[in-house]
Amino acid sequence: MKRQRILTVFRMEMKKLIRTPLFLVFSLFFVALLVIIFGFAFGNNYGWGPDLSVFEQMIPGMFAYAGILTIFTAGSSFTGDRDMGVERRMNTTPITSGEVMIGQILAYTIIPIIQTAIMFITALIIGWRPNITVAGVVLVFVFMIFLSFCSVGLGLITATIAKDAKAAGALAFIFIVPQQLFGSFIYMGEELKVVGYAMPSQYVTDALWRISYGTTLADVNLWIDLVAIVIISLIIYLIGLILYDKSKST
Amino acid sequence: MGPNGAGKTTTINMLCGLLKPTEGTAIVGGYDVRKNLNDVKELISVCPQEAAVFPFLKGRENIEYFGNMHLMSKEKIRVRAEKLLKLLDLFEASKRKAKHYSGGMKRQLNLLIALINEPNILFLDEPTVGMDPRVRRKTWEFIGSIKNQNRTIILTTHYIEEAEALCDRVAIIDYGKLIALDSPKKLMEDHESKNLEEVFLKITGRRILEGI
Repeated sequence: MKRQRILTVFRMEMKKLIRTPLFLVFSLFFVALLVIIFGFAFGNNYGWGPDLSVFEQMIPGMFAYAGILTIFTAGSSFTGDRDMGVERRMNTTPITSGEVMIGQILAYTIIPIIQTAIMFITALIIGWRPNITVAGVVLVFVFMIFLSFCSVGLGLITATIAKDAKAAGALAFIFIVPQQLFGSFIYMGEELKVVGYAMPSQYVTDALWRISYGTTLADVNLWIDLVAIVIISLIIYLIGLILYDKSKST
Repeated sequence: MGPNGAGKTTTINMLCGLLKPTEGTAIVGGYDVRKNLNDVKELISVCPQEAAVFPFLKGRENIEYFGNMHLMSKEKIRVRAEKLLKLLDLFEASKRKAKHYSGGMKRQLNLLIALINEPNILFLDEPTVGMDPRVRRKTWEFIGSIKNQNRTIILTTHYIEEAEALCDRVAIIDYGKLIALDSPKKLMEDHESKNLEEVFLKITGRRILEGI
């Protein structure tokens, strides 16, 4: 493992995000815009209960929704590298799969941190007042990082199936839409709530809800959510990596 | 050289580790590509047929990226990249992102990336396809100058003129088999031909005769 190569991959991934308008819009601006729109639309709507506005109830799910969108950016990014031939070119250099993987993991750790920070600040500016501790804030970032790994794994699976970057963009929604409907800020009714537990993002939404509205670190459900998202994200990431590596060597 | 589909790119892909040979052996720089691929990768560089560059990176950043893959020092990368860019008149353009380059410029950048690590063995897969005649001539001169630095260059081409101008030895393959290998002069003598084009047509002509 050579640090120089890992950091080079990391820097390249970050430049790709910053310099590619589509990634920038999807990863950062779109989610911030979503918070603003829903904040103004539902900030004074108490239709879901007297204690919290609909917007306040939606916010934890919106964080998860932002994490889900990484499937689209990661899938398009990996397929784009393949389409341009740079991935094959890299395979002729001494860089190892492990070095590429760690470089990408670093990038996809930083991206959700920036994404979450932007959403957090935007939400606070437009009036969100969570009952959250400093440790809780740290946990929010931890959950978002693991959701990002999970989304990168699904992005790798998308890139394995898709023939090109455009197809990857469309295919990514196979993984995005169910999580969006059953594991983010959209309320599908009590009878469909159980479906949510098949969605990685549901564990993040649930945990972020608890963290945002006064739960303590002694809450067992919080740790169950954390264990669930860690296990799911690692499994999905590994499956994605194996499938993608296999598709490269054929 | 070889007709379309003869196996030129497949051969290069096997020699640089992109494709696993189904049988047989291949030795590059003294290393077996099946057993010591990592050692092979330290020695070689590949300029693929398509312009394999990151469009969102600047020209210079593309070259630096691949220099880092070979663990070159920052200073060495800077000096070498500057020298290479100036040789092909891409120095000013290297401050722009590669997505704004013309097709010919992308192909030149593609070639420069392959040279950043000063490889002992350089694979050039149809390096001048898509270049206008002026840029192609200039690139030939450039490749010729690399050849004079005692590096091994394995170049595939469809341009007879390119092979005549650059190659000490010419291999002709067809249907995946090596059917001729010698200096251009010896090939012309052996096949009683005035130029390489005639040799090529005589050797691979059966495709035309068979209507393939």
